Amino acid sequence: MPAPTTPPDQTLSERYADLIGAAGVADPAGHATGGDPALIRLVAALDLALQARPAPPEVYAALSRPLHEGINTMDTPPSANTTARVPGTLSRRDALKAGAASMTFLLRLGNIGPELAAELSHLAQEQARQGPMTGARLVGILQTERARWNALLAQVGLDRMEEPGVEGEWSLKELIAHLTWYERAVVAGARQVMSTGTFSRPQSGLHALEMDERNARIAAQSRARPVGDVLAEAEQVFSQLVAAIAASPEDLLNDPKRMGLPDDVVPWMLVANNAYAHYREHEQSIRAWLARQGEV
Amino acid sequence: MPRERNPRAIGPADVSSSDTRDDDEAALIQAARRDPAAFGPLYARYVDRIYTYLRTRTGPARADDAADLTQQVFVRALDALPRYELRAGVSVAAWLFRIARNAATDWQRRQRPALRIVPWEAVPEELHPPAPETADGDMLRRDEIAQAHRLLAALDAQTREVLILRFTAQLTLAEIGAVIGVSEDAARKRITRTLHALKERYHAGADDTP
Repeated sequence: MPAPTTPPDQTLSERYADLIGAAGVADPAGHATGGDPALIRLVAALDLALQARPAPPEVYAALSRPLHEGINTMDTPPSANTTARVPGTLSRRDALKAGAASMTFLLRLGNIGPELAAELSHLAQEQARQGPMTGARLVGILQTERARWNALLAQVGLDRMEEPGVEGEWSLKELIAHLTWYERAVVAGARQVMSTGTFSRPQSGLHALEMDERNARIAAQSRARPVGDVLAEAEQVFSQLVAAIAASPEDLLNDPKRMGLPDDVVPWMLVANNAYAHYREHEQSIRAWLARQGEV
Repeated sequence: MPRERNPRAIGPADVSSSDTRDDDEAALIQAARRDPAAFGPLYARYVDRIYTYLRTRTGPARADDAADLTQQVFVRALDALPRYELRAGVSVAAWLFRIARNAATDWQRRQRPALRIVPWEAVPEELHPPAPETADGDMLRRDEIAQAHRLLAALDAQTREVLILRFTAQLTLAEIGAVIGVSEDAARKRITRTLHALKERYHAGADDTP
């Protein structure tokens, strides 16, 4: 735990002078002596019942990169896990260390939360070290992450994929259809750029809807479909995605201008955001659902 | 009568010296604009309180979400540093908790309706602190803490949040007002009204316990 950085030891009366009044003075030992005893008693109980609890180690581990020097002045929790990464894959939590570059723009893209934006920012920083992203390298990442995702699906099993409550009310089948829709959009975008040399975001159909409404429609459309169909479509679209990325020239993956993006948002980040980073966004809900069913 | 517990290990209240704290934190913000490492002390000061507040907003089985949201709060804060302005009543604490509150609200909007309201009873036990030993070895009775939780459970979410901002986040009344968008006076009235309504029930309930 980090050490407090300002004077920590105040009496109850000092901490809550605004609530228990000036009469609630403390004796030399710090015990409240005056004021309304019933109120002081309640405040004391609330003070204890609602006191802040330590954040888990991963929270402390996060942001250690942008705050490197500052964090180093703190005591790191002994169980903090700051590494444990498989080469070629990305730890979501670890990636959160990356900071906020490009985040504002990415947030505007719709299907992204700040944590994913930070992860993509981290990827961008890795790129600076490893050189431009190549189709082969991105395909490798996509396939590694896809195998991880498929292993999670296998843990659920076909017979449970229509049970509701995995992600909110959605079943896993509806969630898979949701993910597939966004991957298909990336495939369409990649094909558009490669065939026309330009990219414009679709403005019609489901694309024209607000994200929540769009997601609800996608889920509703998948509800009556057999699980097998949804899974087959997911695999087909993923294969198309891999093929499109493998065929993408390096400048298309790395040059923001090709897709009209700001200079610090490279196109492959959009691919990652709508593919494996999107899996990861929902993975914890699946694991929580499994845990609720007695599986870890 | 509950006795004082041991000094807090977690971020300070320091209500009586909020001006000094504000100056100190404003200086850290200024420094962090030039070097993000200067944000470290602020991170250390607020991370536990932000996390605990977010746990009360996300509820059970969502500890990972609370952890992620906590990280998001600080990522967003770093991103917003260039736009941060220290104004009267909008301290760094209020600014951070406002970001946290918005993050929690965004998170809740993304949940299915049934998950949007977290019943207080569902807040995990790990957030219910054990009764610690006080300096003279006495124990604050667990049933008194449990009674406090029962009272909290009976409150509506908005009223409970104000208490959490005061007792968990250790915000001043002005800061609470800034976070929830009301005046300091309105925040004061809201809290004092709630406390006075609770104290008789607390007294009666505590006396009823064996």
